[in-house]
Amino acid sequence: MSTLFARFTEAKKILLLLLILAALLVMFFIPTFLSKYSVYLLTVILFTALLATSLNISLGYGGMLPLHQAVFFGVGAYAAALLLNKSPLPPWLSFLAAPLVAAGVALVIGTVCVRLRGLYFGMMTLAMGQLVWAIVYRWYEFTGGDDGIHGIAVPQVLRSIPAAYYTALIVFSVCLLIIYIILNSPFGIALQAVRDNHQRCESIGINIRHHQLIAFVLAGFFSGVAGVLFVILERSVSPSLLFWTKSAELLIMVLLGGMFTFLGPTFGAAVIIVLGVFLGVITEYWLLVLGTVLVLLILFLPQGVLGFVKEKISSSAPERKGVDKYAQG
Amino acid sequence: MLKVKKLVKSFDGFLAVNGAELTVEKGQIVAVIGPNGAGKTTLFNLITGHLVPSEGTIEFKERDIKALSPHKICHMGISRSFQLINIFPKLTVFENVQVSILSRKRKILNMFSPTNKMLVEETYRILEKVGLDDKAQLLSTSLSYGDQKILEMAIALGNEPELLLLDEPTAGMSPEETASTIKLVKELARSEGLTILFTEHDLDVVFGIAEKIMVMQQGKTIAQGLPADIRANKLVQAAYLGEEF
Ligand SMILES: Nc1ncnc2c1ncn2[C@@H]1O[C@H](COP(=O)(O)OP(=O)(O)OP(=O)(O)O)[C@@H](O)[C@H]1O
Ligand SMILES: [Mg+2]
Repeated sequence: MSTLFARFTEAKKILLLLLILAALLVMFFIPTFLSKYSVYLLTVILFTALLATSLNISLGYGGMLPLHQAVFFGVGAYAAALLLNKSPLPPWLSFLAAPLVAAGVALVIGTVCVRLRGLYFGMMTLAMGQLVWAIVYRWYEFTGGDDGIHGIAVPQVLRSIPAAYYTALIVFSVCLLIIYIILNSPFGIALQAVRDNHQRCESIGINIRHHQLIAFVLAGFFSGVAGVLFVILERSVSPSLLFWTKSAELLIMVLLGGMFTFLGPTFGAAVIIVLGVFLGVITEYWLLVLGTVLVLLILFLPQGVLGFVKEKISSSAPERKGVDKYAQG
Repeated sequence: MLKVKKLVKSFDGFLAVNGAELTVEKGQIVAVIGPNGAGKTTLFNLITGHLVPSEGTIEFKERDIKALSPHKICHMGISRSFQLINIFPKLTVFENVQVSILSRKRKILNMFSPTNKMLVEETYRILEKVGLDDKAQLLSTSLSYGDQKILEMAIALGNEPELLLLDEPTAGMSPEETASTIKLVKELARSEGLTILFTEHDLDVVFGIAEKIMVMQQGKTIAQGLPADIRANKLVQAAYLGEEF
């Protein structure tokens, strides 16, 4: 029975791997047969999916409630824009440094917030995030204020939609792989343990604040990477990138896809963006739509779409994970 | 090994622990008994750092641990199980124990090794010892109540503690489960060379395995000593009026 089961999970793993490779292959050739607008849209989906996945490091895996993840996206984007336009750094260094700036801001906000729990944590991230937004919005000389920054000096080779798309595809794939590895490392398992039970974690010797802070900073870093991808595609930034409604949208994406699944946020991001395009993003209506999605989710699919699918797949047998006895080698 | 002196814990003026005294020597099995609300769990929470004492001292291996946080106390060698089930509900049985071993080995900041290949033998060694090895890959919350209580203990064992605190390890168990759990505790104490401090309401169990007993009433230690002395103690008899000793 147990060997049979092990073989089953092995087969499932290989199947999944093949599926991912096939998807990547299709994604690779997409610019040759889809319209420019579709490729543009896919690029948006890719960096938004990365952003939502990074939010889920804190939310689904870390048990924190970051109500304002978009701040790190915005900071990453602004940092890239400012470094490209105003610093003597070569572009590739600017691209690397921008996520680090986002991680730095996450370190500051996180240090304050991990002292708090639950909703208090959430309110504090929201308050501090809006503070960052206000600074960006008001500081005309440095950030361009509410005008934002336009005509960002993105290197010539990246200034086309296919180039931005391929960059996003590669960066998205690499980042998701790294995040996957981290979440399945001892650090990741301990993070999920922290999510599950603070008290118990403390008594088995885990410093929960420390652990959550590291996860929060990692999430900030990857959100910053998404911000860089945004800059490469759009070559302009505005304060709306780090307004709180952006964060609310991200939360809904994660909830829709399923926050206890790795690919849920990616799925949620794709659905919400496509939905937005079809409905035409008229602001008031858009918030109404998002609100409706949220209500329906809470009522009918509290575990999200992929969470629901996962539940269906594993409902025949009690939930198992693929660790075979004495698989060490 | 553990010395608790004149310990007091006040919750907004209510003295849940009010003059607790306790000495535990290396290798001993010690029981803390007392009626409901006597302050046993609060005493445990004070020892493991989940609560900060209002007054008094707690020494472990000659060191004052009163102001330390729980994770530091754990790394000094004290681990515990909880009265109410306190496990990691979204992790498997295997991972529940594995994470505690990872923490002891200070590997939880490792971000790049796949966990499912780590410490497999060690984790199974503990699971086999407590008899949960065939349920290793189940989600922890799918276990029966009794098995979850055992998992409680297995998580604590993952820390390889020198001093193991068990808060009512058999609470809510059937008589058969209670018997096998007690047997397990006894075996563990012998095979692992553990020092064990436990609370328990079933006096037969207590007198069956404890080498020393401390009795609490309304937060206060009213007696401490060998089982035979406790049995003969007038104060204890008064506190447990009507129960058979
Ligand atoms: N956090 C708290 N705040 C206020 N009062 C508390 C708190 N924790 C415990 N108490 C009170 O302190 C007293 C001692 O509780 P404790 O849980 O330590 O008793 P116990 O001996 O473990 O009882 P039981 O045998 O029922 O487990 C109880 O009256 C309880 O209501
Ligand atoms: Mg108790």
